[in-house]
Amino acid sequence: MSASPDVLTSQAVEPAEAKHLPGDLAMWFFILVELAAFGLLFASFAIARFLEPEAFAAGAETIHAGAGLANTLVLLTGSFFVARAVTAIRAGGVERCVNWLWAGVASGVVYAVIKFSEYGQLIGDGYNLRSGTFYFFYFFTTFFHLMHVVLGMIILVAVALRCRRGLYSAADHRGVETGASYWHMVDLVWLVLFPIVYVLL
Amino acid sequence: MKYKSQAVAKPYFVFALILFVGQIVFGLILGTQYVIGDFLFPAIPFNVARMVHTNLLIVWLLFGFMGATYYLVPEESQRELHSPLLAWVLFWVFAAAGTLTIIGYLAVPYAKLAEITGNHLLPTMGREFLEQPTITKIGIVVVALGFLYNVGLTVLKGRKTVVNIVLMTGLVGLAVFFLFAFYNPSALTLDKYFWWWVVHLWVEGVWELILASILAFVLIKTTGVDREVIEKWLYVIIAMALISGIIGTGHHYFYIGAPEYWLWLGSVFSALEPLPFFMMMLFAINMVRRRRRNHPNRAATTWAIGCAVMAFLGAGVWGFLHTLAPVNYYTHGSQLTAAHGHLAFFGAYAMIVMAIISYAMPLMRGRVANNAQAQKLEIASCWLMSIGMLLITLFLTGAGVHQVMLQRWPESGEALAFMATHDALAGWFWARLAAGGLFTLGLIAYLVSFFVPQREVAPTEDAEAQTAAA
Amino acid sequence: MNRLTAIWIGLLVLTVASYVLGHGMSGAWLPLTVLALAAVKGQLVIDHFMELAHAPRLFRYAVSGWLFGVLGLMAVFETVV
Repeated sequence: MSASPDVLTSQAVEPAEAKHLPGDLAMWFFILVELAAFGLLFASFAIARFLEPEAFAAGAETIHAGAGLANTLVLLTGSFFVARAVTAIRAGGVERCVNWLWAGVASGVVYAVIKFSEYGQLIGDGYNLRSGTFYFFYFFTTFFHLMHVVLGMIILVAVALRCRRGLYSAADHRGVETGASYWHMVDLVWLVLFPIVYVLL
Repeated sequence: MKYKSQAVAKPYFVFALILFVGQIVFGLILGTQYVIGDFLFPAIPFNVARMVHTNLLIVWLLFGFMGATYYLVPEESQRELHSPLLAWVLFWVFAAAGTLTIIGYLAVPYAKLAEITGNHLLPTMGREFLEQPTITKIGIVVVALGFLYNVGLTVLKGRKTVVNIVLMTGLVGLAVFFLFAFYNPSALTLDKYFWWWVVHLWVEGVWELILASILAFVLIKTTGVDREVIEKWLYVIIAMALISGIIGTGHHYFYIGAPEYWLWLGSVFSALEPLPFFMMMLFAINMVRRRRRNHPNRAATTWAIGCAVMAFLGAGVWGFLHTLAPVNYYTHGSQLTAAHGHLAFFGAYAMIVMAIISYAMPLMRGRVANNAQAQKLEIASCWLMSIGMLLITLFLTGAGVHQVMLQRWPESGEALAFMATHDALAGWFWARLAAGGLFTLGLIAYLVSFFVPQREVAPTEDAEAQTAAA
Repeated sequence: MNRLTAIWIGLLVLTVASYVLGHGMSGAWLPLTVLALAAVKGQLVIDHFMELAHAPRLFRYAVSGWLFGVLGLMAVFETVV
């Protein structure tokens, strides 16, 4: 964060070395804050597991790792779609960009459906936020992440609608990059969450 | 001053400062009662003095925010205020309600006041900071609605800037969250939830938006830095404030009967709460360093930077000190809380109101800035009050740590009783009272700075054009 | 096959691999391997999807630092517990 003032007050970011930060700078600061929040959550998870190893091991037995695997594949695919959307608009393909963005939104919908069915099964098994520290972390962290998927979908929809109105082009597509960067962040967080919550133990 | 209607801010600022003086008088009384328990008893018991001290704080800050809004919104919207008359009427309604309430606190016992004002019809009294009689609370809602209507229409009809929109969001949030003050469940834990939804979501949520937008306005005006740059900072600061602040409410749910998982949630998210204040400090220092011009009002810049730095210290650092659940287990409701409360309220909210007053008051009195002599006194008063408050904070921190060592940390048999602990801390409390005296000197200097004669008349055409360029 | 498609397929393969490892095998090396796979996947996303490979270094370091910091912390706890 220490270098932020220079970055925020000058346009030194781009011209200096022809380096390119995809999307709006403010979005990147937002992303860094989001990562900090998730980072603290993961660190707390590690500490809590250290304090109650048995409870965490027992809890991990009860959650549905298959759903976690499926959702990882879905989010990676969604991220791929959105990366294609950025490539498309850079080549001037407005319609292709819109289609890839909708595909990204669809991946989010699939993700949410899987997530809710996973929650439904667990709640049916009698677990909830108050079933112990492990379940608090499982439910809260994944739900907090789900909220970010939803926000990401809202952003993608907004970008897709603006793109369809012809507001982006090969020359000017900063908005598409901004939305894509946020969406990839959501994916990145899940890539860390998946092994920690679903695979280890 | 570009729009005539901006002048309605003046009575709000003047009344805010009058209430500020009242707050400090009661602060001095309280500081004395900490060491001389029956000082002014039975005329002004400790609990009443405390209630008046905190209520005056909130009300004078609200007057300050309203004044700031009436000054800032027309200029940002580039049009006159929708109804200056309404602003004047609401001023008198709010001032009368506030004064009567304070008189009520002082003149009759609190229970009697509750009886007179018909608290039994809709019980809302008795909660810290929200002690106002129900009828006063209703008055506050009416004033807030009229205020939001007046300013909201001005914003809607005029130019929409990020500063305006952020300020409006903060003000609407302030009004909406106040509604939780009307719900008073009898279950104590539940009651605390709703109480914090007013208190925390105000000072660690929507008030931060108000603070950031007023700070941005003052910096735009005094530094001449591009609006786009300042707006980008605002977005980032607000995103951070909301991410950390909303779930950060959890740090108030420690050990009050709320589910255990709040220990984790409160710790994690409130650990992020210093971030927006840190960014605000970087923002203010950076904008001033990159200023495009030297605004003649140096005092306003001093207040703005001082506000950002002291807010980071008080809200950020002193908040973080005791926000993690394992720490808070020992410090909950100790003098550390008081230390944090003092520096955070002064740094973040008192100083931002003084920053906008410092910028706007000379303009409303027909000059771009006060003369050098008046500014010198004002800047000195800023330093005096800041140092006084820092000392108050340090002494209270010492008292808090000492208190925890005597009363909270030891095993059951060795822990000192509450009153015995209080006596053992007397040295800290005397020192705090002395620091309060220093703060009061600063306040007196500040008030005097308004009356320094302006011999060398400042408003030149040139200087006017300079502010107009902003 | 273009670069993005190759990376996407690689990510899917690594994900399935880490799942199979985690649920089919056991051994002291296992947790660290799973975390290392996550680090590789994360860095691929950072470099090619987020395009931080060509961004100002500050941002790449910050985001990669986050990835390796969090996974490294987990690794420390894995070896301690």
